[in-house]
Amino acid sequence: MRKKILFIGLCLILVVATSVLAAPKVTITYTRWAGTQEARDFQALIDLFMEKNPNIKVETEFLPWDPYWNKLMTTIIGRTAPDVISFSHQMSAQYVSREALYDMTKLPGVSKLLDEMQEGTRAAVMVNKKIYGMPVGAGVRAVIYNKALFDQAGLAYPDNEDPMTWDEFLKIAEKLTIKDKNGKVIQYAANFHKREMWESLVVQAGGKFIDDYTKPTKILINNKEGIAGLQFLRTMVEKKAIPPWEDDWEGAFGSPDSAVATGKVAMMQAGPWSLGPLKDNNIKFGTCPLFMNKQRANRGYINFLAISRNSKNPQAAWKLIEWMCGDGQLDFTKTGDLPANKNYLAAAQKENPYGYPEEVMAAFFSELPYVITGPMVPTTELITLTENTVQDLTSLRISPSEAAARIEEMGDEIIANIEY
Amino acid sequence: MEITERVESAGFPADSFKGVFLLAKGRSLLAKRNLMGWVYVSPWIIGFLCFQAFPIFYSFYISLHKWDMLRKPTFLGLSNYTSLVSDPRFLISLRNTFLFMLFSMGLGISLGIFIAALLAEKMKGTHIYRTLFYLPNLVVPVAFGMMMRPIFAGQDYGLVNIILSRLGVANFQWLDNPSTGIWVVIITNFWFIGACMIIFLAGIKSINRAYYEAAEIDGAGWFRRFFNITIPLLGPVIFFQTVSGLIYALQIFDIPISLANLGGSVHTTMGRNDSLASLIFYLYFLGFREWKMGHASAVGWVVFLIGLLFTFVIIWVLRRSWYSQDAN
Repeated sequence: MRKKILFIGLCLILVVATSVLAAPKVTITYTRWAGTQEARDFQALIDLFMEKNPNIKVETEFLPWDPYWNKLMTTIIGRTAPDVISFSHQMSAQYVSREALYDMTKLPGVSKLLDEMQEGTRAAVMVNKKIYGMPVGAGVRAVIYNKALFDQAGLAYPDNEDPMTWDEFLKIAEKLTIKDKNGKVIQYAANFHKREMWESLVVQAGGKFIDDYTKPTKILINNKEGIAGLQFLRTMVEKKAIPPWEDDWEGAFGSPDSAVATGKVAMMQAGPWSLGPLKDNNIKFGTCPLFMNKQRANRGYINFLAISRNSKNPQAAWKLIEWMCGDGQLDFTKTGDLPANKNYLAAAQKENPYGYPEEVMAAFFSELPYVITGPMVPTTELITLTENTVQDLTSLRISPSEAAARIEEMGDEIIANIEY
Repeated sequence: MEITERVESAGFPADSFKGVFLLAKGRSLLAKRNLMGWVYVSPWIIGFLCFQAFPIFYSFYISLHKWDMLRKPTFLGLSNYTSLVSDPRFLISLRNTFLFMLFSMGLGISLGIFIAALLAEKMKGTHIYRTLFYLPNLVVPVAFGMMMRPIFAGQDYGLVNIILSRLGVANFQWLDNPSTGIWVVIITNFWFIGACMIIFLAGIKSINRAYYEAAEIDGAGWFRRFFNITIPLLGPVIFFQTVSGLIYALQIFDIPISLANLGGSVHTTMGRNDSLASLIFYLYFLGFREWKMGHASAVGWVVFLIGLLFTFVIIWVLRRSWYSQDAN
C-alpha cells in the first residue's frame, strides 16, 4: 500500500513538474510608432519585459508616425491588430469613443492602476465608465535653446524652471532674430508648434478653447482672453520671431522638433525625444519652460496602451501593459516620455533615467502640471478648422477677432454634428 | 445568310469559329473543351467576383447606410445621396473635378495631338524628343506632387513666387487659395502629357501615308493636312483618349493629396478651405479620415454615374463625327 501511495505521489510530482517546466510560452504582439533610435529603445524595453516574464514572448512592430496610424486603422477594422497597441491621445478618439478596443475594466488590477495615473490622463481612456486603455507616458514639450546663439546675442540663458513672460520673450526674440541686408530673416528666434501652440496661448491668457475635451457642447474662444492668445501668436509672426506657417515643418528652419539642430533657430518647442540629435551633433543646448501670461499652459500628449479587441491573449497583453505602466515605468521613461504614473514621477526626477543632466530635464518636469491635451473627439473636422484658421491668422490674412469668430461659428456647428 | 458566310464577311477565316459551331451542335468533345476554357479563366472570374463585383455591389449597399466600419451599419435610405446636394465640400470637390476634367483633358488631348503630329514628321532627332516627352511619365505622380509643393509654396519661399517677385509681381498663396489650388493640380498634370502623346503618335503612324501624299500633291500645307486628315482619321483614338482621360480626371487623387499633405499634421486635409479637393479626395477624406463609409460610398457611386453619363455623351458626339479610313 505504501509503495502504491509513494508511486502515485511520485507520479503526481512528475506531472506537476513537467507541466511547470513545459508551461506553454504565450506569444503576443506589440506595436508603436517610432523612429530608428526610438525603435531601439522600445525594443530594449520589451526585451527587459521578456527577461522578467520568460513565459511571454513579445513580437514587436515599429513604424514611422503616418504609416503607423494608417496600418493601425486597417488592422483594427480587419480585426488583425496586434495584441498591445500604443496610442497617442489625439489619434485615439475614433477608437475609444466608438468602443472599438478591448474593454479592460474587468481585468485584475486595472482600476487600481488607473487610479495611480496623473489627473487629466484618465479621460483619454474612459468612455461610459469602461476602461479602454492605460496611460503610460506624458509627452511634454518645453523650450530647447541653442546656447551658442544666446552667447552670440549676449543674452543670459533662461531659467530652467521659471517661465519668461510674453513680453520678456519678445524682448529676447528681437535680439535673436537676424536679418540680412535685404531684410530677409536668416536666423529666427524660435520655431514653435503653431498648430497646437495657439491653444496654449489662449489658456495662458486666461481663456479656454472648448467646454469639454471629450464631449464638447460649446466653443469658448471668442472672447477677450481667447482673442488675446491668438493676438500673441500673430504678434510673434509679425515681429518675425518665428517662421511663417509654410516654414513650420518643412522649410529651411527645420521643424519644432528639429529647428535648433539647423543652427539657424535659437529656440524650439520640443520634447525629450528631440534631445538625442542635438547631443549627437555636439550642439550645446539648454531647456526652459514655455513662456506664460496670466497662467502657464502647454499642449502635450497622453500616450497610452490598449488591448486589441481581437486579442487571443488579453491576459498576457495586460501583463505587459501592467508592467509598462507600473513597475516598468522608470524603464519606460528612458524612451523619452515622462511617467504617467504619479508614483514614479518623483523617482524619475530623482533617478533621471533619461541620460541628460538634471537641469535639462527640469524644464520638462516643470511643465507637466500645466499640460493641456486639446479635444479628443471622433472627427477631424475640428482640427481641420483650427489648423486652417490659425494658418490664415499666422499668414496675416485674418485678424485674431476674425479667427476667434470663425472658430466659434464653424466649431459649434461641427460639435453639434459629431457622431459618437 | 449562313453563319460561316457571315464570319467570312466580317473578315475572319471561315473556320475561325469552328469550335463554337461544333459546340452548338452539342459535340461532347467541345463541351469538354468549353469546360476546360472555363477552368482556365476561372482564376480571373473568381478574382473578379471577389475583388471587384462584390465590392462594387457592397459599396452600393453601404451607400444606403450609416457605417463607421466598427459598428453595425444603420439603414438610411437615400439620405447619403440627397445630403450631397447641400454639402459644400462635395460641391467644391465637384467644381474642382469638372475644372480639372475640362482643362486637363481638353488641353491635354489638344496638346497631345499637336505634339504627336509634330513628332510624327520625319526630322532629325525626333525619337530623342519622343523619349524626352515620355520620360516624365516614369515619375510617380505622388513623388511629383511632393516635388511641386515647394515650387508652389506661399509667401517668398516658393520657387514660382521667387520668380514672380523678381518680375515685380506680388506673392501669392497658390496651394492655399481655394480659387487657385486646382489650377496647380491642372498645371502639375501637364507633366504627364507624354502618355497621351505616345498614343496619338501611334494613331498617326497607323494613318495611311497615301492620304498625306495625295494632299501634298494637291498643295496642302502642314496645318491643312493636320486639320483635314490627321484629326478626322484619329477619331477612334481621340474617342479612346477622351473616355480614358475622362475616367482619369474623375479619379484624380494622387496629385492633390501629395500637394495637400502637410508635414507635422496629424490629419490630412484637402488643402486650406478645401482648395485641393477633388471627388475622389473627398471620398477618401470621408471614408478614411472621417470614417463615414456610407457617405463615401455614395460619393463613389455619384462619380461612377457622372463617368457613365459623360461616356455616353462622348460616344454619341464622337460617333457622329469621326471618319474611318476603311470606310473612305
